[in-house]
Amino acid sequence: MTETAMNGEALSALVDGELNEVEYGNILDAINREPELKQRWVRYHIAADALKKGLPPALLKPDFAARVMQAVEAEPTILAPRNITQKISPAAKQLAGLAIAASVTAVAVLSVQTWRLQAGAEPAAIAQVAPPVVNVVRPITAVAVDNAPLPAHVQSQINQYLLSHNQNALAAQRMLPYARIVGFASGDAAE
Amino acid sequence: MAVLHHCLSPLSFARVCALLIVSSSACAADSDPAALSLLKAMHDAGRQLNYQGTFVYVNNGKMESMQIYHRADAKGDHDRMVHLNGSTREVIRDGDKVTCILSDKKSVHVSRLDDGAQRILSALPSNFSEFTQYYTFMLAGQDRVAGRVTKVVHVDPRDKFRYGYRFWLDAENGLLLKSQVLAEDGVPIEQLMFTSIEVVREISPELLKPELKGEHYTLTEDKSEEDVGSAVALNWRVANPPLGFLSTGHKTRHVLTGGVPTHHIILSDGLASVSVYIEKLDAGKKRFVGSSYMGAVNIHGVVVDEHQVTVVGEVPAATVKMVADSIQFVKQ
Repeated sequence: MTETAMNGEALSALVDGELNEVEYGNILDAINREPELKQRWVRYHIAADALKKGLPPALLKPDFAARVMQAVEAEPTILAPRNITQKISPAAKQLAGLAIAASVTAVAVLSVQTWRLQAGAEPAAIAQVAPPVVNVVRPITAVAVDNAPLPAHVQSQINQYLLSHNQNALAAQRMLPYARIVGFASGDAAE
Repeated sequence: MAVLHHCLSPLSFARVCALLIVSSSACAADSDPAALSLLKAMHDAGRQLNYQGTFVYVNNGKMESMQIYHRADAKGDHDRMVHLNGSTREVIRDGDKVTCILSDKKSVHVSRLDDGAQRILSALPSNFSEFTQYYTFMLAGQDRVAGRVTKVVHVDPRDKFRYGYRFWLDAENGLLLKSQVLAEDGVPIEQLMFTSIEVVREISPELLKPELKGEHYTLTEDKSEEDVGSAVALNWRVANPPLGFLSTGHKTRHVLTGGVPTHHIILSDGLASVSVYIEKLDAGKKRFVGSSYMGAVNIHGVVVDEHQVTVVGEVPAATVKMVADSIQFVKQ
């Protein structure tokens, strides 16, 4: 596969939000290096939006793409997410290379979903460490637990809490909580 | 004593005093009051100006584009945010009333803002020393965002229980044009950046009306009650929150989970807030214990005295866990 073709696949993954942090960095470097790729990124993005029937007509202004592009140009670091998705496309894997794949595996362990459900079990069954008396950070160790997706009703309850928190508790940055709600796709939490 | 007095020359006495002052205000010495003043100006500008713009929000590896309209008038301030990608979602804030319209869920959710954290921030920079116990505030030069010159403010936490922040403020009008929330390792975990913004004389009220009609949508209204001093508020205690996280509100919320009253405690250190949700577990009801996150927001669930306790906050995972682990039920 040529580099451009690989980048093309990585580009689709980028638009679909399927890249991990390292892949993100690589594809963004590539976007910044190759103007043609950048144009395609903007087209993909708009196409993806249109497919999802997202853009209200008024906002499909011709300069929208240019603005997004400008933003990317001005600020490549804006696209530097922390979260590592566990889905890695084959193309992206090739792109990232072995060394990176190794580091991705290491990080992926930390982002393992650690919710555990208990139906009627005693809370004592959970390895709860007594709260530290002093302000010392204790790393949360990801226990090997059932990694199954959360049942819908629990997911929905957590989503309600997230919505409530973002609606009610203001942060330093007043727009951010609302941005979270607006950008909050179902299933984003505890994914 | 006389000997001691004699030994202290005026110069050395002054130096001792200087040392004492330095050590007692060591926390504030590495912060720049000008940086805090800028944040105060940012807070005011965000409320008092009329503006519209497009911004991108990056979270969980996804980038979302949103449009914002903000109007300030005699009745207060109002804004409307519209999601530009994917399914249409809107958040409309009218004073302290927040309405979320989510087309994918066909739901409209109405709630009232808790202004506890906002009050703390409004008091800036008079409560300077309070803030500087937990964060350092520094000016970090200039940059350009959305074609505007900005002043950059760095806010760094003094411990592992808070995130760091980077703010880019319009040098002319103080508006926040870009912000980053930084994890412990300095990696941005949530970012917001205007790609275009326009300060205008007036924003028409028409622009604040929802595009979504909301027909056939489910309406939920979060009618919450102040709980301060009530029996339930007295029963539940956050025994050992990380330093500086103080309770800014106690509420009972009725719509959160199918009509079961949920006790809601809000803690804040002035910049970040943490919500504690407590509800009675009925027999056979599923508990959830463990952690999860959404962007910079971490979530931790525990079970205390047959109650489900869920802690949610835009703070590191260690903080929500520490809060959750220190929730106590105290029989009165």
